[in-house]
Amino acid sequence: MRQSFPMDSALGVVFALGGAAILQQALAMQTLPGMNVGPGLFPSIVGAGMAIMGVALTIQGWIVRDTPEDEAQPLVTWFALGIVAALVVVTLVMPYLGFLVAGTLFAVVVVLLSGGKWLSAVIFSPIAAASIYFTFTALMRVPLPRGILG
Amino acid sequence: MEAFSLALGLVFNFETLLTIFLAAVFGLFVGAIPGLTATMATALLVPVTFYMAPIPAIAAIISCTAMAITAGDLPGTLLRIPGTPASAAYVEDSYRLAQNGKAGLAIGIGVVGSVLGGLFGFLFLLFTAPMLAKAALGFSSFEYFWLAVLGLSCAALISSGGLVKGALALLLGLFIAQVGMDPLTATPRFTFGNLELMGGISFIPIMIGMFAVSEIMRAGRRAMAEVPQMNLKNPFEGTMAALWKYRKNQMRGSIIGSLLGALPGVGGDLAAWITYSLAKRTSKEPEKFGKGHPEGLVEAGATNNAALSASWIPAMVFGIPGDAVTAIAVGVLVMKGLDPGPTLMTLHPQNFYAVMIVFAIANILMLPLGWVAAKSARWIFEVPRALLNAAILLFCIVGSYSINNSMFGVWLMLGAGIVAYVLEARMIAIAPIILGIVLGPLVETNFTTSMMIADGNLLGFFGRPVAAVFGVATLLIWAVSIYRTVSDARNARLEAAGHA
Amino acid sequence: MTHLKTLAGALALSVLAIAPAAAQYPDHAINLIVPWAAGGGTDATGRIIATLLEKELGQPINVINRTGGGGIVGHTEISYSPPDGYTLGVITTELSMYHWTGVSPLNYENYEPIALFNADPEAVFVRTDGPSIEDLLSEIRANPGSVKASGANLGGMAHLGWAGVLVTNEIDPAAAPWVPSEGASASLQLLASGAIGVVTTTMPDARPMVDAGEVKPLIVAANERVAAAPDVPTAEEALGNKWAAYAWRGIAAPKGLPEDVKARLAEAMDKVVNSQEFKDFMAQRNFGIDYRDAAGFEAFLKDADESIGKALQAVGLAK
Repeated sequence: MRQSFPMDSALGVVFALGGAAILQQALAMQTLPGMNVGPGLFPSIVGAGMAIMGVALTIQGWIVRDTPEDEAQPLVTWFALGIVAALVVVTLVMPYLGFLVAGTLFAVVVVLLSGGKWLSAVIFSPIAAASIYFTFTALMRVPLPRGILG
Repeated sequence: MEAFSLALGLVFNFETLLTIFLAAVFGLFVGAIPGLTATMATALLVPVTFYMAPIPAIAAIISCTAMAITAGDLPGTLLRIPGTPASAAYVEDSYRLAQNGKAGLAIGIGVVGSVLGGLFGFLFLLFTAPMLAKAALGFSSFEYFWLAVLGLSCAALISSGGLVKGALALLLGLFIAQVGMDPLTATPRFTFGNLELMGGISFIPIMIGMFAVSEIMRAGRRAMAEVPQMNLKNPFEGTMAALWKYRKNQMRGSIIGSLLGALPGVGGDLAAWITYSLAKRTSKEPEKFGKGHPEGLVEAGATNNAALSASWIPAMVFGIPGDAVTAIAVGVLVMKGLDPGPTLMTLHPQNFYAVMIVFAIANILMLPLGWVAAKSARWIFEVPRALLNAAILLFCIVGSYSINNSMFGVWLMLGAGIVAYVLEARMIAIAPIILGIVLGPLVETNFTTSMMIADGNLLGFFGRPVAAVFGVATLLIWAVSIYRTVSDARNARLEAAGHA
Repeated sequence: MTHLKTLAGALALSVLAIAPAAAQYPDHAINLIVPWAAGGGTDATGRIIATLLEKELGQPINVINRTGGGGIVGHTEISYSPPDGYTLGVITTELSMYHWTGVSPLNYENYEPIALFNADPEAVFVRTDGPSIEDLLSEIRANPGSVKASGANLGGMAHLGWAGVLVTNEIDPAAAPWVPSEGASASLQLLASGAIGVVTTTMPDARPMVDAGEVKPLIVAANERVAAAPDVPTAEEALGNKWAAYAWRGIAAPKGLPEDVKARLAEAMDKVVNSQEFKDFMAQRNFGIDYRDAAGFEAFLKDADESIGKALQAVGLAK
């Protein structure tokens, strides 16, 4: 079955529009007095290139068309969405809860999402979070958020 | 040669050898943890070296760096998290090899190929260092610009999705590199008034997000334990055969790596990309590249370590360090009274040779340490996928955080992971994006500087002989590739029309 | 969820509130931001200070190179960091110029000065086979635009040093255009490769290339000859017109640093700058030591701000 609008072409349109936006922003950048080349020159080249290549991808997607196997794998899966959601939440709460607490909770969620058992999740997560925390703070001097256990 | 035997005495004593060994183990450890870099390992060593004699101090730094960079291939092979921008060039091949049950072979080629490349670099530099350093000084912004563009072009044109998609990936990387303050005039660009964006976007969270996070989103619940691992007794089995089969690649990779590595600031990151694409272009089976084929791995791996040795030349001979690691090392040299610069070669040649010998030892030491690492690597495949996912993501978070010690890096990682997940589903390669970010500032600075020197005249980019050669070569590569893409598309269309 | 967040927030706040009272500064690692590239003079001096300061304070000091924008990126980051004593920075000459040239509103009032430790005059360099200063200037007079100069960013001390040489000899600064670069080593590389004709930078920054026989100093823009290069004449001796331009470096913290932390840092810096190790290092690399304590540094910055503003206006670089 042929899709009415190929995915590649859709992506091409996104790139073309993005390139155009970069170009528009870059052209607005001012050259400093006394200089013949300004900070907007290189971004303009990149923006223009992206716009042109975006159009090329749109056309190419139209000519080549998607092969049936492209549609076999769904792009949006519950698993992928779950991972993204877990990452968003852990990033938001880590400054308050600290790495040890937030990291442990996050690990439990990921293990369960990935089809692991409750027991292994509960045993593994605090150990993993604690050993990473120790490695980075004590050995590597990375000041990870300490949060409520600080 | 008297200086050389003096140098042997400086290196072959208990204190120095023990330091080299301990620093190597430390480097292996740091390099194997995703998100920790060789720079970090080196910086952590500086306070320790403060209490050491000069040669052990510098030996610690050299052996730690060399090992950390080689060990950076381990998370790349096993988890698809490349340790350095250079190893991103061949991470696809080594990761696929591991997924096909040949993790031992992938690591073996990486380690043994690196050792040979590093030793070649050592011999090569022993005789040509001052000459090479002198040649590197003749490079101006014009030559650097073309060289960087050549490297970027290689990355874009060899990527599996074809020219248009490769070019788009590259341009995306170049754009990401522009976010923040412009390198020459400090004008904020694409920052929307955000202070974190003002400081620019580091490639490390992007690299972690694009390679590792997207891979986890895609692999899902698929169990890694189902990947049967071969050669458990001798993880390096088949390595020598592969290296012998691709001995030409090994040789060429080492030579190009040694030459490019001597250019301060560019060499290390670029060289592996250039030779990987060279391997693909001259290969009899280019279609296998990126799917777990050892050929590119051999050549780029050799290049990587040869370039690493060579990158110390400008630092030692002219006191011009090319990257953060050599800069830290120059600092240690100065503090120990071993002033880097031309006088190091004339007044204290034994120190120079001692440094070179340390290189050789550090490289040889990689063999046993790499063997142990490869032998234990199979444990990774025995950990249940669910637990592994959690551990990898925790490392990703911490690694991205540690770049600027802020959650901003974690947001970048997440965004990059989602973008890469979508792009890779449409066969757009990730590697050129990373190289675009790493080399973006270099390309732009040299482009702008050259434009100013040439008073805005584009012909000025071909005004110097070496620049002209690089420039024409770059333009030719693009012309040929564009011609091929257009004619392929036309043929595909004719074929489709014929069927209809 | 909101409850949890509130609770977490409250807990975090209470922890924050207790923390400063409980801890003796410094109780963890300190970051030292260097606004210039690794390998340059600021980086080298920053790293030696970090190492010595580490011994004084008993906590690790991580040197972070935040480069770009002629030092503005790093300087901005120092000024925006939390003033808790765990982020310090090396501030350099360029700070006195940004607001005059209009590239950034930053000035010395955004910082808490801790100690000045170095000042070096700018010198003019050409390739070893290059012309004498008289020939160089007559070439510029004869063919405006043919000789390009570099050294660091646009409107920095190196640029000012060069423009001053031209202006005091009645040459329009536009006759030898300035090519901005990321720092002295990038500019020296351009000079050695033959892409440009002149570099202005300090003696210590150029020393490896001078030793290598690649470049040579013509004059120093100083009040008197420098110890590191006693053969090189001052601008006044060579050309008859007085002109001095000094580049300086100091340690500063973001504005709003608690007094006790500032006192602790100032005391530690005093020991560092007066230590034999520091003096040996600076002498070895030909860096001049110019030490001023917190109050002295603040007065120096105020003074530098005014005098550099005047100089920039005189050569037409100020907005």
